[in-house]
Amino acid sequence: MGKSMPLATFSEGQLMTPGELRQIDIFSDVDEKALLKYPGAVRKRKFAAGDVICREGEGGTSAFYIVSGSARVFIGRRLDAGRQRRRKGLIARVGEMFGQRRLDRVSHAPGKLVPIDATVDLKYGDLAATLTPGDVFGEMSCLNLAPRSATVVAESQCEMIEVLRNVYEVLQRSKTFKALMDQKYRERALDNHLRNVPVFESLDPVALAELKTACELISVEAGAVIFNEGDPPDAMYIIRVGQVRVSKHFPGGERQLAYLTRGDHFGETGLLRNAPRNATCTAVDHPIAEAGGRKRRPARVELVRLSSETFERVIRGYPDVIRRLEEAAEKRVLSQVRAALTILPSVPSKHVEDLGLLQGQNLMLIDLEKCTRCDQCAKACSEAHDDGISRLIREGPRYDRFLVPSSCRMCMDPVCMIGCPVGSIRRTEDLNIFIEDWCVGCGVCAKQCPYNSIQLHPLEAFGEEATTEAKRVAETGEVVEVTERAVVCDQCSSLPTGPACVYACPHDAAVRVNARQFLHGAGLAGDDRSAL
Amino acid sequence: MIRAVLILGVGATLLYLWDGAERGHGSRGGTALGLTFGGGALAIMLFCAALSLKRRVPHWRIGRAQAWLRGHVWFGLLSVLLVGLHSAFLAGGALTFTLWLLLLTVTISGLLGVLLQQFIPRLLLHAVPGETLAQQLDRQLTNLRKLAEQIVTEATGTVEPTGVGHTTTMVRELAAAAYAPPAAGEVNPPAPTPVAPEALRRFHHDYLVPFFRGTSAAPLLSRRRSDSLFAALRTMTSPEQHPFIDELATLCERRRQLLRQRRLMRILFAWLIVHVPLSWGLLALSILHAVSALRYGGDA
Repeated sequence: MGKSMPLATFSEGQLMTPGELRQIDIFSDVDEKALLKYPGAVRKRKFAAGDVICREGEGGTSAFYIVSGSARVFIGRRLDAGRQRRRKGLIARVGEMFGQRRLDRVSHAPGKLVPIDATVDLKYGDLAATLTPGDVFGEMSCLNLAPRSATVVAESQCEMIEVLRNVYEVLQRSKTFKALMDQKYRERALDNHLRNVPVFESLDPVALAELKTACELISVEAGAVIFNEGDPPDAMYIIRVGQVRVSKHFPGGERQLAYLTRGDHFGETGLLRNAPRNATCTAVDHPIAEAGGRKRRPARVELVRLSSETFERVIRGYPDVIRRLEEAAEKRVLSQVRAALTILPSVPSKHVEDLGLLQGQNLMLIDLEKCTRCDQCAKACSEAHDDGISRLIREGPRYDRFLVPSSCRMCMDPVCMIGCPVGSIRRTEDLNIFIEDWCVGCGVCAKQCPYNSIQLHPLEAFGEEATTEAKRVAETGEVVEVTERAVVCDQCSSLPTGPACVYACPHDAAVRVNARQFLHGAGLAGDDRSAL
Repeated sequence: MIRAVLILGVGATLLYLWDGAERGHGSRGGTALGLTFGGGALAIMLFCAALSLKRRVPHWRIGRAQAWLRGHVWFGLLSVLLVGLHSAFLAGGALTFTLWLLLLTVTISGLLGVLLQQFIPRLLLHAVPGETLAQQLDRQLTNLRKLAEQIVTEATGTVEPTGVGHTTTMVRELAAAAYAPPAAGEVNPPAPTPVAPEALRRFHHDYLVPFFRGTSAAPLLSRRRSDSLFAALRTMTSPEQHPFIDELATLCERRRQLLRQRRLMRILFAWLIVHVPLSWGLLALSILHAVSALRYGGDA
């Protein structure tokens, strides 16, 4: 399971009076009475060059506003560069000559945006940026208790204001603060976010500038529906802060199709086809905050809204963009059709429900009457991946004569995707769950997965080293490097033979099935059998 | 696959009989047909040996493991027939006799393996509900021992008995209650005066420690005896200690299951100790036999 995330203490720095705060631009129009209500919730912090302000993966409850100086924000690992792959033996080399290969864990195209909890985002392959006066970082930690998404180290002598949630919420109601943040976002992140939408990649700078000017920055409360399935299309959206759940009604019930995060976009299919919305999109809160117990105001999800008029006006002159949008929409529809096929009406027994079997769209089952415990499935999994780590643990609950091992089920509601601070867990078009290699090892996904199907492994197991930057800080003794990374079964989706575990089972004991169809077909779904 | 093997087997037998009738004295290894049979058998042996190589690269797209295993079993059986036809079912010289011996041992051990793989998994499924990974067995057994000590310490403050010796009256009573069947009409043995927590400490010392250390004659190895001993222990302890005793009984049952798993898994894989090395020996000697026969025209 994931490591614990102790919340950083909020005791260092100098407490600030409402009067002092009013001297700072973002507090200039904040009601003094509102500030008096929360004494001690704002502190002035001074950092010397090299000081670590926050570390990726750890818990946090505050946001930082940079008053002066600059800070380096980074994900402290080299990703695609310099990875030491598992050494290949003679047999593996011979196999490669004949086209036999292992699964390459890195499947992401370089150039992709890595979303972090700051007014800037990082580029895959670089993973570092500079924060300057006026920038804010740690907003998601402050509002939603999300783990820190990146490490921030002072680059020069810095002065920052550290704010707790209650005051940050007051700030969010301030027009000056909102205007400043919106301006910062438009200056530093919106361009990247728009370019991150594949269909806008090829837009010329003029068209992109037009989009930037025309888009609105809006915010919705977590839990609010952004649009319902069947609604007329009026805009497309890009997520600025927070997460959005995409769900759809099928004859067998509602399905959660995806959880989108900062930088992701939705709603363009309806615009392009001028057809009613084909899914419902809802703003969601961070799971840690939801589980917090104490009653609190729901967090806000901030969005970039591109109206249908703007969208049509800008893309009209770009047939290439229209073609790409069509392709993307087609893929999305196919993915939804596939999701619909997995639903069959059935009345699950209590035990089936308890085990969460029906969540599994590609559930792994091992027939224990056939299984000789040779462990070829786990060995095959390990052999099939270039990092040599098995995603399959041949242990788990039993149902009837089947073992349900710890391996991703491709859940209908992939709750593991909620709350990733760096957006590194995603669902592919063929419904697999995939963890990108910029995972910071915070363990939120592992904690969220109800079936222990996500494991954390030390980075050394992947043959990775920290970046020079992270090492330099480490030598001062102040940085705790990211030490783990999450892995999840990828269903061996790029292997033509399908999952290696099933392919390698000599006794036909291991199967990958759609749980509903399988249990229904086997007459097990409606039985109230207890575990053996 | 079975059909293919049967057709090949029947075809080879008919050819052998026809060739024997033509020659009047039966086919021999040195004839063209005999060499074909021998070559076929050797090729099958090489294919069978390739299964262990295939296991090293389970993700290679060279056929499903299940197909490989079926081929291994059925073609392996065919090879016995081919060797028989090749040698006219005669033992021959020292090398061919050794080859026959090895082939039969490998075949029989393989068939035993197939047989064991049919029913041991079922046994494991039903007899070991708390089955764990084979690699985890030792660690889990150790953890159970530590857990038992922890429970006794929690219940009594220490695991060490404070009385002298361990053949006290109380222990004898316990043992008697465990071994002696209840008298007719008697539902429960008469309850002795509770002497807890000393009773629990002594029980730990006399029964739990040998059991968790793996002493072969530990009474707790038998479920029936274990149930009787724990029932007797309950009568000698205060009700506050019963939840601890229940936990200990559960731990003992868990350990018995894990021991059963280890035993069954040893049986499940025991045939491999014979099958694998002898198979490699058979292959090596078969190649030697083929080379020497072709080069020198006789048995080596």
